[in-house]
Amino acid sequence: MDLIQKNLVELNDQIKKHHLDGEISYKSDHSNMIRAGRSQISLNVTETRELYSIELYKNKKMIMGSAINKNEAMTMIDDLSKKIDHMPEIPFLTPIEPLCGTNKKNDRFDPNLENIDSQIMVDIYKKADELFIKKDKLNHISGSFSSGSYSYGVINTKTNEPLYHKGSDFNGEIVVQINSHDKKEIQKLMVGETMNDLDLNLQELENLYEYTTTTPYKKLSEGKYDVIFTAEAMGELCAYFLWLSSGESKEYGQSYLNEQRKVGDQLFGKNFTIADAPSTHPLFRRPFGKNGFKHTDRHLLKNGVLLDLTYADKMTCDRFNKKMNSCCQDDYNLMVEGGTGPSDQSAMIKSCKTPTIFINFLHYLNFTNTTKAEITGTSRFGTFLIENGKVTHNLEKVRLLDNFFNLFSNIEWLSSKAVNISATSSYGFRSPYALNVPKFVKIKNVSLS
Amino acid sequence: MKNKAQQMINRIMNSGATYADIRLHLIDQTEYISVMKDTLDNYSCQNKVGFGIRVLYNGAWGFASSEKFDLLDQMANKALSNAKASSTFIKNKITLAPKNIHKATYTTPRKINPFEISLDEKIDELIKISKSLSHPSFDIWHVSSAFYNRKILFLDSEGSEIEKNLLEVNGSLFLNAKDKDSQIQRRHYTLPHDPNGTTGFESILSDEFCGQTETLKSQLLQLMVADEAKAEVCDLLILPEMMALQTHETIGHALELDRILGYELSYAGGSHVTLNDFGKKQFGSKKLTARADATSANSPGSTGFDDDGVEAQNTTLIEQGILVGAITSRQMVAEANQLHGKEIFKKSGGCSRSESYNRMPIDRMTNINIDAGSDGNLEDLISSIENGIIVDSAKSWSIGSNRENFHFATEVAWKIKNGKKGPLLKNATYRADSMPFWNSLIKVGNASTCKQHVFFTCGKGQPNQAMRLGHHVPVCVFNNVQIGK
Repeated sequence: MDLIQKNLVELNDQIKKHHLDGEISYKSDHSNMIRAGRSQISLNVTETRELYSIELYKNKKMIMGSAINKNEAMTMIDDLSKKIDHMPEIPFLTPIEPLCGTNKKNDRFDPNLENIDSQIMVDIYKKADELFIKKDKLNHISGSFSSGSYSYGVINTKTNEPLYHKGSDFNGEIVVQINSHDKKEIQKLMVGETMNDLDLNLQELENLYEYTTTTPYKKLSEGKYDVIFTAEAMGELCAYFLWLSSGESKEYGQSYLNEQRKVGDQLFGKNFTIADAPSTHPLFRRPFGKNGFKHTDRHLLKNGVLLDLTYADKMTCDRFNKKMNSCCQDDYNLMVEGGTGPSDQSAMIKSCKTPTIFINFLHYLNFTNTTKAEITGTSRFGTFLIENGKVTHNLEKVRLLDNFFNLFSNIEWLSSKAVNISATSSYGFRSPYALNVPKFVKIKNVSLS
Repeated sequence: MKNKAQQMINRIMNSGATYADIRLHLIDQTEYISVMKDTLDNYSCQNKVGFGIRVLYNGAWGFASSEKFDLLDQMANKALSNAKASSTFIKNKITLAPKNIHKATYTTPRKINPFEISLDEKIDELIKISKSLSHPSFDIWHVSSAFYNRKILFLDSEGSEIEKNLLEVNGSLFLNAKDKDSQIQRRHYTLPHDPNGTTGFESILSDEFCGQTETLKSQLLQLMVADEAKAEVCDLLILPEMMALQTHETIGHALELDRILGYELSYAGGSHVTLNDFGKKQFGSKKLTARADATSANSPGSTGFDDDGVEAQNTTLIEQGILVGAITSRQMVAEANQLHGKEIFKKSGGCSRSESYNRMPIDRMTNINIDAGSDGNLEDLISSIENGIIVDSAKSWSIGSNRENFHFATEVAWKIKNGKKGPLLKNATYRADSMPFWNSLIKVGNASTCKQHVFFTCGKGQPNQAMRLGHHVPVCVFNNVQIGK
């Protein structure tokens, strides 16, 4: 048992000494990040942190606090154990239950990411700069690259052994601002769990550069279009969609589900399937959630049917009389099922015989009306018109103004191969989260303005 | 600790650094209380300490932070080695604009320190407010308060020695219910701050907070039976809570100098503003005067000094529609002037801010305000509109990466026909391109229409930082805006 697990056991014992029930969760990280802007390093930072979060329960009363090391956590437990008598009763509060997660050693932890040599990160941008400055001296390279390690653990007074998990990750992006072409921007994203996952092939970024600099500009008029979304754009849509589809969102009035649209109904197209798959996902497989819940494979949405509502928060479950059935969404290992569509950029472009908009990224997504599942956001990092199997125009950024029912019921095809998309820019209590999404997804009749 | 920190700075400077500073959070306390449907929902508290060290070496930054004071020297070395690595990819060496050196203390004006009153009193007050929000037709009603207490010591290699004792209070209310079409409607409200008042538990007890419950309930009940706002192009009257967000997203972020220069490009985005625009660009109509004012007494955007150690200032950003200033720090001012080949900015505007000790400061808003106008009070403004709509309270927001356009959804709206305010409408949205929008500003309400709304979670930067700030804004009217769609 390592030091953190011993600490968790000692803190758990301290709660028991006060004749209280309680839970201690722990998280820590060591993070490094560099950031480039205007073709130079603008920031180079390192952080090391840990946090003990404490929940104490006494019959129908509860209280919470957090502390930055074990000694402070001990003091916090003593302090909260006095304060808890001042807390009002919560009538619906239920007793805590034994944790049901299991420990499993993470054989993909890479210590090289924890103590990465800063120069390795700097050189990523230096090399990108050398490549694109040759194309045009006015080009600017931007982006950030973050690398580090994280751990989390949990124990409660109904459980003797703590759950503990440690991992490593990196994530980042390289952005080229093409100043000679109206400051247009293109981007490459990177995510991985070990240094071996780092892919610095910039060919597709160079292709985007070529489409931007060699095709004429066109302004798109408002209307409905067939759209190719990259995995990055589709992953972003799916992350927002799943948040809206959780049990917590439904109970707090944020969901599109109601008497007419229920779990088990055919709400989306039959070619749309999402699973949480910790046994097969290529990255960040977690044996248990931060709430201590076991993490096992299951479909969330299968062939367009939402299979279940997930509940991960004890307080919400108690308040709405629900049973906790899931780890938290940011612990998921999500995979969007692929199809038979093309999986490389040139084949995808050749496949589009009729006018199709190619969107590389969606910026600043937000729900305009959650109960109608309406969403908006603008395209970014390359928006193009494909006609007769060729990129014919680079477009001004377009605004997506649509809803998930329309989007996910009109998927024409999904690529046969998937890529990993980082859904969080981790630094500071890093909690890496990657979606595995088909490389391209074609959706018909998308509303753009 | 102060002596150790000073020695560390001297050692780093002797190692070849051209500048170094440290921010020591000697006290960093947070207390959060929320009550849902008259029952305690969450009580949590956090005590922490920590420090962040920033080093400039050979024209490049390095930064390191920790919560363990015994790692001070180790983190200083890490910050220096980070700066050395950064210096291998620097095309324009970072320099810092001059500043006044201060040895000073700033303390947030306060009456009732929330950390000095009993827990029972605070929880009882929130339960009382919750009960006044309740209604049998509502699904959820919720009250929350958050209190932040920080003692920060800033030292730098130029001789600055600044102590800040900051207190912040946030309060919010929300309630929701199903409407006649089975859609969830929601009203929320965040505690506005009197810019000339004090920060403390007195804000939670004030009429500005407790006194709003009946209005919110009444509006939610109206929303439950309200019709949808129709899509049309008409005049738009924006009330202060929504106006604060409008100002924040399309003036504040657009005028952060690091965004203008391109340092935020890979995440938050750039700006449609360029260095050539200062002194010339017609950013808005002549009715628009905006400023970055960190000198107001009571706002989370007022901290006495920024994290470069520069004193709080009141900087004009837009004067009668013309762009004249930006949200600036020492680094960005020096770089912008150098790039432009002549002086645009005389000095740092004192807007270099970090979320906490573990983040490096970047250009952030303080209080981005709009001057009151001379077009009368709210009634005068409404009666001047032939065909328009009133909106308030953001439901959602999505803004172009260069702040060139936006789409907002609002919680409440009222139709105006021939100068008369009609019944409440639901699901109103509006969108526009930023420059035509601000140039369509046709009326600005007088001082009686102004409120200062505060934000505690403005996100920017990599690593991401949530910033606290305010917007003191009047009611404004815009011409020919696309509603709906």
